[in-house]
Amino acid sequence: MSNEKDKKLDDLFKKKLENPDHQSGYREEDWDALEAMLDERKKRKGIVYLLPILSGVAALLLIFFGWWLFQSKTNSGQKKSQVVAIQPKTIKTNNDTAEQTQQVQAPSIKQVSPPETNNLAKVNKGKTSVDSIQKNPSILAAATLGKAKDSVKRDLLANNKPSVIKAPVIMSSTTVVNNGIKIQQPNNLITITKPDNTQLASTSLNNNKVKNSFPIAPALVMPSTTTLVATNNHPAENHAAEKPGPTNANVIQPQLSPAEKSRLAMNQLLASTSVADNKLNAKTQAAFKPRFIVSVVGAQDINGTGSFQQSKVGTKAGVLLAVGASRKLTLSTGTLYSNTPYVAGYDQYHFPYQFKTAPSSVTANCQMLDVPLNVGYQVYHKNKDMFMVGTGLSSYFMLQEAYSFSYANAGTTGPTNYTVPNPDKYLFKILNLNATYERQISSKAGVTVEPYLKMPLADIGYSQVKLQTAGVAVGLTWNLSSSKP
Amino acid sequence: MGEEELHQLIRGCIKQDRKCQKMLYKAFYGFAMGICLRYANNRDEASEVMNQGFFKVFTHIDRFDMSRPFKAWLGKIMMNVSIDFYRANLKMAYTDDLEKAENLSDGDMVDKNLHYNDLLMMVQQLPPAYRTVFNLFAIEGYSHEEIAEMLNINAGTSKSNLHKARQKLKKMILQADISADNTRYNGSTDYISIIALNAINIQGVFINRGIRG
Repeated sequence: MSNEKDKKLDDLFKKKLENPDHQSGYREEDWDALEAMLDERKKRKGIVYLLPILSGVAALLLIFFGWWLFQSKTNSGQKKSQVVAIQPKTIKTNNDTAEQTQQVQAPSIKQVSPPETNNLAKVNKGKTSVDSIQKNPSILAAATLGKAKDSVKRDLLANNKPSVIKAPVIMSSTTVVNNGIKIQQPNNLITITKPDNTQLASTSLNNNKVKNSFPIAPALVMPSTTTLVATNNHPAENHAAEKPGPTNANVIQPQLSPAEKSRLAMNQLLASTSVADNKLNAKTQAAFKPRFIVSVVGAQDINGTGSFQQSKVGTKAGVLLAVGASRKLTLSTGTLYSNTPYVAGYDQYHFPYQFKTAPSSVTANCQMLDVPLNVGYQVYHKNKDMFMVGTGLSSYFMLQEAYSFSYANAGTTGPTNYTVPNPDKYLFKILNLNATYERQISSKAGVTVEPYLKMPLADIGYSQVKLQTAGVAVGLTWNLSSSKP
Repeated sequence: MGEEELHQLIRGCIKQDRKCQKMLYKAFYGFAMGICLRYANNRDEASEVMNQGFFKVFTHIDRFDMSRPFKAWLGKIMMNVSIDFYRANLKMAYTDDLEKAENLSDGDMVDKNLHYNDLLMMVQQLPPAYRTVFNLFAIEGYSHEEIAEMLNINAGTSKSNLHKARQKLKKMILQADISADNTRYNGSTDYISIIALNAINIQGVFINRGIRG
């Protein structure tokens, strides 16, 4: 009973309320409200369309400025470390050379100074030469300790050569005293050596002078020694001359040989320091060794025409080869097999074929080879993480290009499918923008995640659409270079 | 409107042609509003819900299968947005306890001279939970199980709400009957006057507008 009543009630409402077509009058303000909603959507749609581009540009700018700041900081950091790295080395070389020079000079002083000081007690000028020699190492040592690399080299040269030069000078003075005849000569010699010594003393402080003084000093000193030998050949002084001769030889030989040794050592040292310098430079200024990195990538992307409003998901897979053109710059190319479906309204396409009735929408299924040529710039690299931004151009080689048309009206007659018989190729018609994050999983291998955006620079395909793609590629990289990165 | 004319309008709407959109809107305004009014508290709320429905229609019209009747598709969308609106506003909704089952007279309600507007007003006066179930069951023809699923409630709740809705409606019909007897009932009452009668809901309109803005 109550069920029946309920049914009647329901029917009453259903009958009267079911078809209310003409019950409520149209109100213009309702349409206005809807129009406002639609307009707002349009605006949002515009923003949505621009969003990938805007965000891409923003991200790139952000990355660039981030890198800029980061770079300026690390630059100063690198400089500091460079200085710190070099200083201990130069100090070390200073010590070594200082020791060596001392070792070299020490015997020369020991062997020469006893007769010299004994015999030349009266000869003040000889003494001054000894003094100057004795002074020299200390001065030189003092000078070298505080001085920079280049000056050290000069000082070392200055140290060594004088030690070689000094020996004959001193010897000549001693022989002169022994002979007691050729005082004039030694005087001359001494007068020569004195300025030489003073020069040395002064040049140890001033390096430029050292260099200049060298060519003169040996030239002046060496003939003097030869004249000495010549003067020693007087008959009366033959023995004496002979005696000092061998002693001279003895004295000179050991003197010269340490000097030679020291010179050799110096050369070696200089060579080694220069090698060390090179190494340092190499380390700090990035030893460039071209790196070859091969990677296998797979990607999923969305493809759209004009916007990503109506987008379809495509896939890519392929092999890429990257060449490290410099420490930061990488060139990459490869081949990606790409399955790219996309759908858009008929108005987005420009078919050469004239449709009697325009299809409401066109779905395209393209299979192609994407050959990118990209350049990447490494903006961040720390430990195992690396971040790179890149851009470049892609060429599309269409393998298959098929379209299917859907019509608004069910009864419309028109082509439903079309497969392009000879798909074209589009060289460098697509702009690539990408950002790559790479994580090293071993010294050779790494994994990459790369969001990318492909912007058309020209109409693509038989239907001449502005096909754009955005997606993320995931890859596995393998460093082919033998050297560790 | 002829079938061909309708399809032409729809094609225009697919191209987002504003003129076509307006024409379609105008053509189905009454129909859509009729559905939304049943689910809404008042006309303004109904307009808001209906516009949301049309917005969906215009943004997803490319998905519409031309071989199917447009009106049914539109009606379904309107119903769905109405239910969505109800669900979104569940917190605001209230369910008043129904007075003890009254012994209603067995007067033949069907014979009463009740017009669309009267019945609509009654439905609108129902608490949303009762109203939605009543609409879906009595007018749309869904089962309690289907309603339970649509509204995310128990089938028992659906039955209970339907029962309470019916009780309330019966009471309102009787009251309307009395008022009609007292000749206070104006058969030619237009819709505006119904809104005027429903003072509480008018306040609600202002609140809603504030939220929408």
